[in-house]
Amino acid sequence: MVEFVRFLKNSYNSLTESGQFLMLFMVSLLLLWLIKEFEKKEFRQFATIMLLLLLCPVSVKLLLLYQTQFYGYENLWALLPMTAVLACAAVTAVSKISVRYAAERSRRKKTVSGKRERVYEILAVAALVLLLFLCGTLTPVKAMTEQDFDGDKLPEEVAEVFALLEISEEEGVFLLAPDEVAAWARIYSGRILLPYGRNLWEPKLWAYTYDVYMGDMEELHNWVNGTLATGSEGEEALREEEMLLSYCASAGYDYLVFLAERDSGENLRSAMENQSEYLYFAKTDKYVIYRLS
Amino acid sequence: MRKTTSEKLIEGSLIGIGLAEAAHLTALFFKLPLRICAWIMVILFILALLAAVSPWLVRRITQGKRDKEKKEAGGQRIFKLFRLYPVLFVITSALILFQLIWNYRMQAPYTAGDITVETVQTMLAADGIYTVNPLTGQAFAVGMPLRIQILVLPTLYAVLCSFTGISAPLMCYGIIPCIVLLLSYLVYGRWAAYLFPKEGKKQVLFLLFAALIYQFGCYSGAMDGFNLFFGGYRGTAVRAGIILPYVLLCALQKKWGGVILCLLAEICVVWTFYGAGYAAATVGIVLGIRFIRQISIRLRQKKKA
Repeated sequence: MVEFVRFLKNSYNSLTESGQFLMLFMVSLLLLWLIKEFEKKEFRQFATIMLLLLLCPVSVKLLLLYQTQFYGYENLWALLPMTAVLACAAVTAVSKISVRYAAERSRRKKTVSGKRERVYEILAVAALVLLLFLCGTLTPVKAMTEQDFDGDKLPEEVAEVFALLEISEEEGVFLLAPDEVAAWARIYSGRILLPYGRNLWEPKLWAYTYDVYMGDMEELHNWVNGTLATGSEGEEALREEEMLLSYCASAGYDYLVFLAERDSGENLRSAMENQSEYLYFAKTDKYVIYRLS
Repeated sequence: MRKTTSEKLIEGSLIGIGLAEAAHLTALFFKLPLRICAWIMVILFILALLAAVSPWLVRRITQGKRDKEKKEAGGQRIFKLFRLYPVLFVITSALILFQLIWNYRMQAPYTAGDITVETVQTMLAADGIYTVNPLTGQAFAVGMPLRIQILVLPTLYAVLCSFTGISAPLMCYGIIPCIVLLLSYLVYGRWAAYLFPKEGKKQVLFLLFAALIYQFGCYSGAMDGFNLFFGGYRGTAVRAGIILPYVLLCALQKKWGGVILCLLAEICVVWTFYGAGYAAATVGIVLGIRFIRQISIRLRQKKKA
């Protein structure tokens, strides 16, 4: 039970920690209930019941069972007619404010000028836009804007590497590269083959395949990313680098890509000099590419 | 009741998804190459288009003048809105246009947890549907879950890429999200007409707020705006932006044809084998509300009697 409540809390936080549209939704719904002339009662009832179902832990558990626990709680929020309710309440609020203004003017026996009414309407719209902005965001997800993307929607640094590869139209090429390059390899071209897929470091993607990887793939992944912790130093570390390079050559990996700073590391550089299977092929600002000779 | 142009476009796109699914499943189960699947898809689309256009053609021939007048009246509606509320109309259109351009050109795709483009590229390279592992490009050792294989969107995008020659990343990250966003606004256009019938100004204002909610609301992966702007090609975005709002609207308006189309379309684009789908849950709750209301009315009548 404690576990389930923690799960609910975390999922709820994912919806509310960066914006307050859920709170705005509740206020909007309250407004729609307070307005007696609102004709679409069924819509209002639906939105209310859905909100209650999504907030009550028992109904959440039932809804999660309904989707056989496959999707998370945060996915269930798609059921809430957020956009329709918020927009409807905003329009209703603007119209109520202008009607109220006209009624107030006529109560004071003052003439209601169309121009002044329009100014009130514009002010009401501006206030609601400001409210939406304050409850939401203009910078969607920070991680999204960190990379520069080229015209083909690929990160520029990575696209630069792919543009240098000589990809055979018939057989394709085998590539071993750090995660940030390998992640985009098969998006760039279906003719680039990888020893392991994105699911090795993105566990969510295991849902897409029944295939599993052997332990050596994990080691290869850590090695190319420079995170392989062997605990060995000096000669022994150099021998390990050489063994992995030899393994890559025997497996037929056509290209090896390393981060430039990793390539300048002593062990890898020496291992590269001691072997003849891979030759220096090209370099970009961030990566160094070797090709199978 | 006659359907409006936007309803025809929304339902037409849902039918398109269904037809693509038929071609996709045929190719998947008979292990046909992608190019054959593409031709099956094209033939089905042409047949569906002919089936849709022929009654209109017959009507046009038999009662041509009356139809023409009706069409003019429909076209005049947008012009009338523009003439009556030019500033509001221009602001709303400009915001939507900005979002479309932004979606097409400027935004960065959110690829976490998704392999759509890898799958499209794999299909194009292998000329087959799920013949090799999309994650590695190598032959499958065990295979892929069937619930994923039956989803149509990657095949549809691969067919579009092979016919147009547009690269898969541009198609999926640029063009498709624009189409999905546009269809989403068509759905909310119908919502505006449902909530504020014969109130043009409120309808335009509703669309303006819908656009602003998408814009300011994309702060979390659970928000519709985020799905549409950063993963508009995904099945979940199609569901959040088109299917769910449209199925709710159809259920509220008792348009059961639209409801059935949405229920079927959801099965084609997202994993609904786990549970019966969100569209079904939405319709179920609307029907539940109606049922409870009818019972309460009957009880009240009994009490009075």
